[in-house]
Amino acid sequence: MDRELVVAAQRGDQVAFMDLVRARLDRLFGIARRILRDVDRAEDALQDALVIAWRDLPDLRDPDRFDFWIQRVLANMCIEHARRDRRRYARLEVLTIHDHVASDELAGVADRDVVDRAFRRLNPEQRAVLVLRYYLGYEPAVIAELLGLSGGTIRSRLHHAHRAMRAAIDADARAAVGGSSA
Amino acid sequence: MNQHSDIDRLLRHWMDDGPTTMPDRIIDVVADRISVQRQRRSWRLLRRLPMNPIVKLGTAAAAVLVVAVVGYNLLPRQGGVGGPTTPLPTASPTAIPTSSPVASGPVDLRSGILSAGRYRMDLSFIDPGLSIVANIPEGWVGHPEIPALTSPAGSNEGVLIGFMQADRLFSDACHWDLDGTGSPDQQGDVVVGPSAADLVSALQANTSYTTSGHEPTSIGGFQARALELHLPGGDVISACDRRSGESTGDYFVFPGGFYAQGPNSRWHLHIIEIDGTRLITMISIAEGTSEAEFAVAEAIAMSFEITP
Repeated sequence: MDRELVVAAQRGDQVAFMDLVRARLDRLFGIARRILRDVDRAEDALQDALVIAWRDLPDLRDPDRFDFWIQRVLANMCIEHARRDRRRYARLEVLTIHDHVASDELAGVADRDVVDRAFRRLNPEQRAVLVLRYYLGYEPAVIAELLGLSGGTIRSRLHHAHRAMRAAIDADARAAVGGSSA
Repeated sequence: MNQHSDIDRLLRHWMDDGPTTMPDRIIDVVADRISVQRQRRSWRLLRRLPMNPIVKLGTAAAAVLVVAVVGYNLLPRQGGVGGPTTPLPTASPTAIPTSSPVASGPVDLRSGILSAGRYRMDLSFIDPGLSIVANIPEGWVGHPEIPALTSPAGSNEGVLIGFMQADRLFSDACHWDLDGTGSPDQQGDVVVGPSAADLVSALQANTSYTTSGHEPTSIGGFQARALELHLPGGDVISACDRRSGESTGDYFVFPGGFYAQGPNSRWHLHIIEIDGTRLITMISIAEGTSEAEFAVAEAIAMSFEITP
């Protein structure tokens, strides 16, 4: 049934397109919200993405891949929105870890604010791959296809994102116990 | 790595949190915005590749002008793959519906939406000096850089008229990436003889698509053969070889030519022999194309005035 809606929407049926959107809106908002970490910006990005999706829908060759395709449109739009507002995310810093926090202490980190602060320090591209990996559960190969990048690039971004998260959480933990941070 | 798995666990847990419900008002905002946003018209037009001058393969060699005019529902469904079954019905010229008088002299095809008139299409990429003048109705879209014509309807229910040349075919139109580079510039692995009949035979022998008969006919005063190809559905095409950088498969019948314009499309071809040059004219029709739309395209093809 969704396939029929997609085909209809490709032919200009706005009602069919809005039916498709309604069925996916919460999930798409969840993606945008997690990448951008701001409700208002997520709403803006999602609106823009849906308008672009409407405009470009005739370019979708396989209607059965609508979900994958619209997630791609949204992810790219979120990255674009995040890049626009350079004040909202810190430049990625290379944190030199002098006193490595033991993994059992890391395992005890329950403060979501810590994770949130660490996530905000990532660049938009890294955030996007983490959301696709951990919120949608996509494997790196699928993420690569969705973002139109090579598998190597995705693995590299995941690796660097993990390292940056780790370093930021470590730094935050040291600051919390009075240690110095880089 | 233990630390990596810790980050994994944190991220998975953290991602589950947070608001995921979109305010209802956003639906209204999006609906308002798309009501004033035009959709793209999408045709899967491949930019014509630079071609070497056509080697005249003897006096009998004819430019197979494959005029692919795919007729939807005009032919009975074929069972199986690869063999011709029933012959094509004879195409009858259909009056071209126009909303404005047709201009007297031809003008060069231009980009964009056309007024009704006579337009010249430069086919010198097939043979120096070769051109076609056609009567084109109001609202059709010109693509002189290809060259090609597309109907006013979108790609899912419209018609594409294009022109090609072919000395080779791919034995498997789905798995055309013979050298593994993903480049659409590759030569086919099936060499085709010089005549229109040779090309018809080669197409009929190919098992990766279905053909429907062939009929001798004439286009613009030149002998031609009509043939219809039935291309596969999206489940097949999506798994075909991909052009470099693309995320889904492409289906190439002719090397360097148009690729399948969507699932279950039909190509109605006219293979025309023009003084030693073989020209392929293609009309590609989508699943949703109406018979009326096809009839207009067919009439355009029948109006061709060919200048070798």
